[in-house]
Amino acid sequence: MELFILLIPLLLITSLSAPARQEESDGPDETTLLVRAVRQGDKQAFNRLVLLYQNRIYNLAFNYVKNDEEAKDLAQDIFVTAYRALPKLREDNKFGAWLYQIGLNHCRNRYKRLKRRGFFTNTSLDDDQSSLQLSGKSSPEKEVEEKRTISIVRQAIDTLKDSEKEILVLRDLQGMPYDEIGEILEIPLGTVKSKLSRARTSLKNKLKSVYPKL
Amino acid sequence: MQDGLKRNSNHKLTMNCIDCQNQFSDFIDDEISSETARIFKGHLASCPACADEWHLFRQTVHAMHSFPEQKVPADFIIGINEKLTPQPFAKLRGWLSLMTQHKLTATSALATLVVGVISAAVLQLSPMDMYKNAVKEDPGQQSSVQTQATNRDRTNYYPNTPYLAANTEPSRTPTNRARVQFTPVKQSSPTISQPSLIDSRGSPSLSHFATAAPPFSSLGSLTPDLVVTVHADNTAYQHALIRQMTSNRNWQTHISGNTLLVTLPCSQFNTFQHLFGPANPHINTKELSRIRRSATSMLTVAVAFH
Repeated sequence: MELFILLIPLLLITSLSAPARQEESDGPDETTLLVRAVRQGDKQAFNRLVLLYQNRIYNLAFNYVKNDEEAKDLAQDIFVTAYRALPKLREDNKFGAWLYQIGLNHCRNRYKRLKRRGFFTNTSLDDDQSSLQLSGKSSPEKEVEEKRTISIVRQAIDTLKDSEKEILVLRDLQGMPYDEIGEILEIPLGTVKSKLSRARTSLKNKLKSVYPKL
Repeated sequence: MQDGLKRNSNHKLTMNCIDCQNQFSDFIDDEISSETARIFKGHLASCPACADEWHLFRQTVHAMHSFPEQKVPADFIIGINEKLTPQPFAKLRGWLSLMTQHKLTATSALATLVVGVISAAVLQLSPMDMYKNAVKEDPGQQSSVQTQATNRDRTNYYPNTPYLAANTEPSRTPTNRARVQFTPVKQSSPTISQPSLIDSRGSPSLSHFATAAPPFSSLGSLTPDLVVTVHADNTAYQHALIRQMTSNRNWQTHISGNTLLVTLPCSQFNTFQHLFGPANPHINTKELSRIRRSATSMLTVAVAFH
């Protein structure tokens, strides 16, 4: 009987913590297991990790270099660096944030290097052709217009500070939640919000000149 | 109050323009409370300026959200495995890639400069070595080279090659500065036999002048009374002299090698002498009288061009 009384709190604690562990097992747990397997020399596990993250990392790279071949090469380099640096990863369950940190470093460096070489053709936002169509059109030219709009917004993003650019990429282009952004950038949640607000406002002000008169 | 909310005089929660615009980002991400959202919307409804700014802000964020997701290339993972596979000369390739990425621009520029300086030094020094070798191999050439170097007071980097200045010197010399020397010939016998004279009336040609002829010493019985040596490097000047001498109908001319034999009346010697210009040294009058006496009425002059 006494034993049963002692087991009740233990069972209660176990039943309460079970859903939380179940949530973790949906995503991060698989990543953690794979990271452990890679550490033990399972190369196939690393391929599985690549398949899990390749979409996000490739798009992260593309948002910086805006070119298929360069993005491919850059994203591959990010994974290669991660594979070689994996023994230095302290916590296996932080692989995602750690991979993004490596990715952002690579993207920043590659972007600067390509910019120095004149890889990006600079079109000023003040050009006559740089005007955004805000209204949703249903004309056949809609797709072309959208591509042009995207191009103009990308150029405006490139003119922002590095810190503003990366938080916009993570939040608005990658759709990452605030807590993950805070984990990657190693800043508290409030700072994530304030930085994001400043970056968005800054981009809005950059694009103000190309918006048509309302 | 939180979220920039303040109470007005009626104790109602309100929001100013700055606080309202600071809420744009949180509102679009649905990160503000329902109470703050209500006041936020109320401010936008009453403030056209904030409403315009909000419209621009929303359009900007929506534009970013409309970016299409890029598809990962099919061979993406294969490329990663290839990059992870150790390759021969990986370090060398990495170094070369660094070079191409202009990371070692300064180093490569310095290396190029050093190579350039060394090449220039080698090119500058090598003719000196050639000169020394040439002196050792050919003592005869050594003397000529040394003489040339002494005379010109220069270092001869290219033996056997004439100085450019030496080639240009004659062109700088005016034609009227040609040196002319008159040398009387002492005659053992004043008689002049008839040589095979060439009546060269008319203008001579260069080929005529260059025709192979016996040297001056082999002219046989035709011995000149006077030898005029013309030191003129300018061929135009020489041709002009020859043309004037051969075009005179009272004179007979004969070309032999580099010597033109002119037979003319003694009375026309002054005319002949003036061909060489007034600045040239004139023959001694006593010597001329002796020549005239010995040469009867005709005078034979050998004009030697050097």
